[in-house]
Amino acid sequence: MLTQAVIKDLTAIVGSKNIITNQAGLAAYGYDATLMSQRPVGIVFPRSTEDASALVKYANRAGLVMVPRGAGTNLSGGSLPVENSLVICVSRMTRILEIDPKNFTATVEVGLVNFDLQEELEKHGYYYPPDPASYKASTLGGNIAECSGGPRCFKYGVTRDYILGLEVVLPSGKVIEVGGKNFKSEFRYDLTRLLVGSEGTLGLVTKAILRILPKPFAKRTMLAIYNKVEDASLTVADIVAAGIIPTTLEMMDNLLINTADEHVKLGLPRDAGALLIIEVDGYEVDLDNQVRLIEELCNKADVRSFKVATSQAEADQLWLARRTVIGSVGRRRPSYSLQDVTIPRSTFPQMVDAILACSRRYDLPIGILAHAGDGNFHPLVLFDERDADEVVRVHKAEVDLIRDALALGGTMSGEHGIGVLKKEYLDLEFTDVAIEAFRKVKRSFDPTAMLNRGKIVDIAAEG
Amino acid sequence: MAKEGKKSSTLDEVIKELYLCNKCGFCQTACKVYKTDLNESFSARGRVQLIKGVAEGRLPVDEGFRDAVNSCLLCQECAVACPSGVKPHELVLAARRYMQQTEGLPLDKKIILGTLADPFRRKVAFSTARFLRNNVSNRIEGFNELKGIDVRGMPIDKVGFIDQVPELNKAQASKGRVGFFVGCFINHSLAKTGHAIVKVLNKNAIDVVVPKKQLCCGTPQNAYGDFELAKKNARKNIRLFKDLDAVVTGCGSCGAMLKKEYLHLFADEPEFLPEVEAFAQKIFDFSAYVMHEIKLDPEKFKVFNHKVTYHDGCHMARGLKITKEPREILKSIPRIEYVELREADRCCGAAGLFQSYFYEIAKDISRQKVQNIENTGADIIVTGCPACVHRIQGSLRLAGKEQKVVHLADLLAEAYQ
Amino acid sequence: MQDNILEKLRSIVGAEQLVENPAQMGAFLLGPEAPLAVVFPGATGEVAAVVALCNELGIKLCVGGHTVSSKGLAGGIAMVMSRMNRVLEIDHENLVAEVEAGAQHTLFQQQIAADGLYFPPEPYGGEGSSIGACIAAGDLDCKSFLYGPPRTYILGFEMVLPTGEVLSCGSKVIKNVSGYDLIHFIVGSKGTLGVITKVLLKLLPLPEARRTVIGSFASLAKAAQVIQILMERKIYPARLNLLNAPLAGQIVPGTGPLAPGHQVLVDLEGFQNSTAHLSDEIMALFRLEGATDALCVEEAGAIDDIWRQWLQLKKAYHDDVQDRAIDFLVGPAHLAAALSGLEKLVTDLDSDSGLIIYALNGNLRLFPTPGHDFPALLQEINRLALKLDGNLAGDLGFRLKCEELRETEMWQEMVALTDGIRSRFDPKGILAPGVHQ
Ligand code: SF4
Ligand code: SF4
Repeated sequence: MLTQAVIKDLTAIVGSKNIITNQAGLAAYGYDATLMSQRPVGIVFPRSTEDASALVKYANRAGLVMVPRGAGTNLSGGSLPVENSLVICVSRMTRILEIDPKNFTATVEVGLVNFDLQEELEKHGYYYPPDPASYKASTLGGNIAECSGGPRCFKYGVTRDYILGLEVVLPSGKVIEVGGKNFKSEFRYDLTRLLVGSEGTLGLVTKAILRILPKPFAKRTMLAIYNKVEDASLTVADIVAAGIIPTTLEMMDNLLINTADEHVKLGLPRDAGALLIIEVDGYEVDLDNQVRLIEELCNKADVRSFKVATSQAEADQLWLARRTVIGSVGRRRPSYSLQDVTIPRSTFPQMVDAILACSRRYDLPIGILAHAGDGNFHPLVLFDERDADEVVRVHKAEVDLIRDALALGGTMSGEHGIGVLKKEYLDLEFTDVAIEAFRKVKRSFDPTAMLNRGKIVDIAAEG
Repeated sequence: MAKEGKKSSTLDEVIKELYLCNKCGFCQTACKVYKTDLNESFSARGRVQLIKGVAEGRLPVDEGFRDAVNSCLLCQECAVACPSGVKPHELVLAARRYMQQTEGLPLDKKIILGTLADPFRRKVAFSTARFLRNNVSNRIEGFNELKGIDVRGMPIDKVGFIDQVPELNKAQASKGRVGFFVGCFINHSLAKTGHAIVKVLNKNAIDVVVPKKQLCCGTPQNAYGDFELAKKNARKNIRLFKDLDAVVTGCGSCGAMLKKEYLHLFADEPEFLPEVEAFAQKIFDFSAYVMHEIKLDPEKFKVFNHKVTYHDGCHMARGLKITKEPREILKSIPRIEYVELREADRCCGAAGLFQSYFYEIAKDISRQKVQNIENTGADIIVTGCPACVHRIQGSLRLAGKEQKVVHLADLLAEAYQ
Repeated sequence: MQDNILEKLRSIVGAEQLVENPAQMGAFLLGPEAPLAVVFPGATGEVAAVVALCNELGIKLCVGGHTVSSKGLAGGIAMVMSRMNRVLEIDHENLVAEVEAGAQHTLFQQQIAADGLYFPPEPYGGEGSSIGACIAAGDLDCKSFLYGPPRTYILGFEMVLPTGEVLSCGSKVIKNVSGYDLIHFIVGSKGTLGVITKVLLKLLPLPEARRTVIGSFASLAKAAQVIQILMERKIYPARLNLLNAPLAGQIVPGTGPLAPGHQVLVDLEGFQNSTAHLSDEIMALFRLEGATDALCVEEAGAIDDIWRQWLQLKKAYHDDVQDRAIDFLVGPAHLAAALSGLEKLVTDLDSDSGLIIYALNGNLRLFPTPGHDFPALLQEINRLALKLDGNLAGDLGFRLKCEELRETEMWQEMVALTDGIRSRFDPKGILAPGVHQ
């Protein structure tokens, strides 16, 4: 609980409309898209960098641990408040400061929702490539904090590749700018890269300069349906070997085909083993050849049906199904645990086997969703959070999946981050030397762990 | 129809649905209130989670909770966006009912709800508003706006529409007969639209019956959890229209209430339910009726040189699921230039009592609507909901804009001139 | 003491892999200061042992692929990675290669090209330079617009920390957000955080088609205008470079030199159809816009030849005139404005001072003739760049920007922060003494 004096001081900084301390409000900021929750002691909404800096300075003086937050859609617990912390929510810093298409940059406040930016860029014929499935809700600040990916990474890369510069309130409250409007404005170290994906543990990002690109001249969206997951993974390998880098190679298994179709009603065959959404883009004159080649490769892999979307609306429907598929599993079981393991592409079939084995081992339904081109799997373990026994099994399954991915030479997180959810498994992936290097980084920015304490790594007081 | 799902009467019964929400947050963009206030407790997800907290006994029903639940527009956009199939607006309704049962409505809201439900008091209330407008606002310089509602611009008819027309309005060479469920808004402040509906139907050789004893459809009572009062009126309305084979409404909210919500309302009375179903079957929104049952003849319209756009009311689009009909009708009018409105089906900010309780948010929401309208360049905005007509016209007026907002029936009546 | 150290070093790398004779050392050093010795480790273990020794004794250490900067290295150790030059694995299915840091950049590119694979970044210091140098420098090159800067291509690394431990990060996956992003953070750290011994690189399929188009133009303004038109038509080739007349003569296609002038060099890579269309379109545009000469090169060997010359030119300027080069950026759309501003400051751009432009990135590298008042020019160009949505490159650019905008607090904060990171990794301050001075 915040004392009246602290509430008064915080109110003096942000104004009474930008602070929440009532029970319901605290509860509403106690969760994200994971199953965990905690109650913060208060929520404040900075409206400007000055607000943010003043808040951070004040929290330091008052000894309040701070948790930065955007829309709270993250999947690792990165924005979950720890006990007795103050949530600094950037959701009301939503201004677009500049869109400069000719110089390929957009400068924004980080509370801006990814989709809202895309809509503005669209008017100029531009776009910002990283668009995680949550892009309609998630803020760019959140995307930056987690280094979000999305379905287009295979060709276009992740958030990291599109952040040119940041304005950051350091854990001390001082404000710095890192990077700039181009690839060559970092001072000494590429701090921008360190901050991207740091899950709000190193600084509170307030503004970002993003790299934007003109929309591709043309694209083709294809839907390939298979009897077996193995056939789909063969296609993935073949496409890459043929020298084509599609923007997208998204895979769903039978379970997800069913739930997605219940939500979006595309009329997908409910008995299909897997489907791939394949998208290529580029110059119009090149695409027909690529589509032809891809079709051949799909046929070679015993595709059951292959279809090129004939209109934008048709392609949009496919994408809607893909983007909402995770939520749609709620139609099967109320809760899910979503993993984010990523493996070298060549071990795709082994990972599928591992997931199926895990499902049998713990007697839990697991849906397989994958950014197949990236080797990024999102196995969805379905259960009911009210069933204590199931919850225990789910946790076991989670660890197994991480171990399986690591054994295949992968990583436990391709795009969701460590947060608190995977923190306990960090030493499965990293040596002590690496974890100690993480601590060095954290200490350099935030020696007393005032910002997002307890995420990624813990640090002891220096000295 | 009734299989759509039984409306849970208490929080206990909706717990199942609460657990369907996996907190993905996808409904945030859908929720206009959240997008405007950017506060999680005012988002669909926030409401669902808070209701869950109360249902599980983790959270008290305090002011924060009440605000979260009462600030919902019931626009249903969240339900469309939710991949898990959660219907946050229904959970909100359940929570409101729960609050109503456990502690009663706050006094001022109770007065308004009771007023709308009771035909006599309803008249008094609307004429009080008229008095206020004529005597207070017109005299006090600058008193144009009460909590974001355009008081000065709001027409309030002296004599309600129902009292202005005979019970039976005969067409020349009549070919059929429909009942007309007028609804409070048309009755008290948009009589013109009521006449337009009658006129268009009559022009197409349909007799229009306006039962004099009809009552409020029950939307406001339903929305704020006073289901008993809503049921009482509903029962009377159903009986009143018993002898008619088709009933036309000119208001998306009334339509959705009569056609969909009555079924929910009486889900716990299986013996009465068949009667409710029969009633629901014969409810038509004006646009659906003229398009499918009458089949308008565009030849009869005069040339209409206007740039027109269409706003879907929430209950029209997501309650009745009517979006195509009005657009097609508009496009069929010769020479009309139809432009699509960005975010056409998003709430305009009226949402019943919302506009006076969360007036700042409502104002912001309306501002967005005005901007989108500006961007279309249209000079006439058509909609199918009287509440939206008022809200949008008022917001345009407060913003100093000239565009006109009309009901679809108004426009058609004019096209028949 | 000295002998003792040399003895220990010999026992680590082997006697024949250590040079202490100043005359012999010279070949491996850049700069006048003299270290105790140059060592040539052959394996990670050896690197770790050398680093641990230096750390223990507080001896400065600096590392390079073939040559080492001796700045601040008097009495220290220079480490040359040329023996650790193996390509350890080329993994077709995953489009990944694992190489030792000393592997030669261009040789590596040739080797994987034979396999149909592609590693886009240009070598940092010309043909002979190493992959390790490319990563340590992390410098943008003229292909960065289309392909991303070098960091885009690093998936993991092995590095000996200044305290002697071996740090490994990353794996053969193109998406990885586990822990802090050290994988990309070390790119551009210029050897201050550790000695990179191995890297895991992301590869692409080799483009299906290539063409090179060159045009000569009478004025810089005209050349800039042509570039502008290309970009407005959304033509973004792999490289779109401009060499001013004093440098343009160094690129001589197999068919003979082009008419003198400022040269626009376009490198097209992509699919067959679009590449053919685009080269036609560009040729037509060059002619239409009054190119004094234009050439489209289609034959692979001839194309390679041109870009080899380009790399040589780049290296020559990289090594020879580095200290008096001005490297700056503007918003790419402001190229014409930048050039007209520059022509006012540097009057011999047509005849003497060199200028290399990576147009897509808005990156200009000016090599003014010695007659110019260098510090004054730097200030002027800084102002020009800031006005045009840009800045001087790197550390210098940041300092001048802070000075210009009077951001003293931010400057101090950034120095403290970066010093803090460095000293936590390298508590005794042994690595790369010449960097960040
Ligand atoms: S019904 Fe409308 S206002 Fe209410 S929660 Fe859903 S989207 Fe928000
Ligand atoms: S209501 Fe639906 S869309 Fe909203 S958070 Fe819950 S599951 Fe997601």
